[in-house]
Amino acid sequence: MSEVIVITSGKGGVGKTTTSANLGTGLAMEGKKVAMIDADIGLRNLDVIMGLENRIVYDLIDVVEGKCRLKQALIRDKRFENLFLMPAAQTKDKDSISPEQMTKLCETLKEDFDYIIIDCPAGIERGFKNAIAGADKAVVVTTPEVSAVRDADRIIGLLEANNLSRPTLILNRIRVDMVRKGDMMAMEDVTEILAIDILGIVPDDESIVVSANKGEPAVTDDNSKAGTAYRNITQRILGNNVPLMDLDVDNGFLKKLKRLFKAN
Amino acid sequence: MKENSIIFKGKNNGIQIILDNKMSFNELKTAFENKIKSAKNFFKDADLSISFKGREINELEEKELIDIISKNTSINVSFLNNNELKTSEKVFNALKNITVFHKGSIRNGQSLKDNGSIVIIGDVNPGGEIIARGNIIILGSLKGIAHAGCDGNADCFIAAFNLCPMQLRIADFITYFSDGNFNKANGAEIARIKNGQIFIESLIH
Repeated sequence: MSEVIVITSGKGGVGKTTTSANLGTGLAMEGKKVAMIDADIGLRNLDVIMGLENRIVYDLIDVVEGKCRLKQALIRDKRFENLFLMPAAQTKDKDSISPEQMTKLCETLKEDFDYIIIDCPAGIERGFKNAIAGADKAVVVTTPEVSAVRDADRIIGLLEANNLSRPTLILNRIRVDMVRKGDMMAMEDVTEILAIDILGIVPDDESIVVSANKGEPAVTDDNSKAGTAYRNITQRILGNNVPLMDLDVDNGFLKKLKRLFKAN
Repeated sequence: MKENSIIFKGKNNGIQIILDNKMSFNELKTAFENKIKSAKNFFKDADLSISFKGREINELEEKELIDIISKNTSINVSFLNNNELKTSEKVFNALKNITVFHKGSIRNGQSLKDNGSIVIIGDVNPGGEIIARGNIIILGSLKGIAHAGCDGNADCFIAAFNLCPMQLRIADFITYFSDGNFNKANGAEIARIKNGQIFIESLIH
């Protein structure tokens, strides 16, 4: 049973593309056959994050316009041979494709792939409607900021109105030190407002910036905290029960010792 | 005994009973009992909203008259309307309008409008709005905007388990909440117009 998952948020810059790249790669690491679709036509980024920018020949619009075959536009990832990217066109705009065409594309891809991850553009207009058209499930990404949570709330309402009920939530870029001081919304504050199930929490992590620049998703990095978070989220998508990451953990030697004593 | 000491009048919302205000209450009771008995077959076991008019009667007397009705007929008195309605009764009368029930949250950007009253089983999030000609009851948190009595009925109220809205509007009155009040949980509260102002008080006494 293949599944189309759209990664959306409403607000820009909260980590939709990073999440798409990491979940796509994470699922591929688990041996699944994955296609990632960049639905952000005109402002494509997923290819850059994946480090596949230089390999683009054909794109999403070429496929729907019949200028190439579907397989020609799918770029094979350089690390995982069961991971593919369908890049967005950069010289077109969101009106170049219709929700119906997008649905048809997803249906076709479902025949060959286990998971299809759609990276949704920011906003609630045509691009958003295109991205969610063929999706079976939606994942809403937000950061613990009031404005991002407001937009997430709006998006959840729109998803529910479009028969994508029960979307799940990824809370991105949490800073434990700030939450502890009361300067940042805690996970509970966010879930209280949004009232949807949480799929995962991702700590604010410098390694994400490094990995984005290198074109290597953090999920492949065993030493990255954010990478671990994305691996956990991948497991949850696969239906495995993994507890939420304990962000409070300080890996200093003394803290470890203390915890050891506490445990006994 | 006067023939027309008791007059039944059909109203669109029930039966109005006009009572003589000259005879003693005991006389009136007898007349009332006779009248009720004669009308017994007419009403059968109808559900009736009844109001008394024409005479000042206290609660005890009113109860006696209602007892006469239930003893002698199978009429089911569903609602008692007095001539002089107390404010709280006026407020709840607005509930008689058709009420819309909504299960689930009203999220940012969503709007629910209705000509009657609205009951939300869920939260109203910041950026969501509820607009009703009647009352608004939220079995959850009100964090968005609520407008009760939107066509000018200042008798309407807004009640919520957790009342911490961005803005409250009742009829033409508008109030907004400073950041300090935002997200403050005070328990169930009700907002209504008192002395020309939106007044919020606890629902739990």
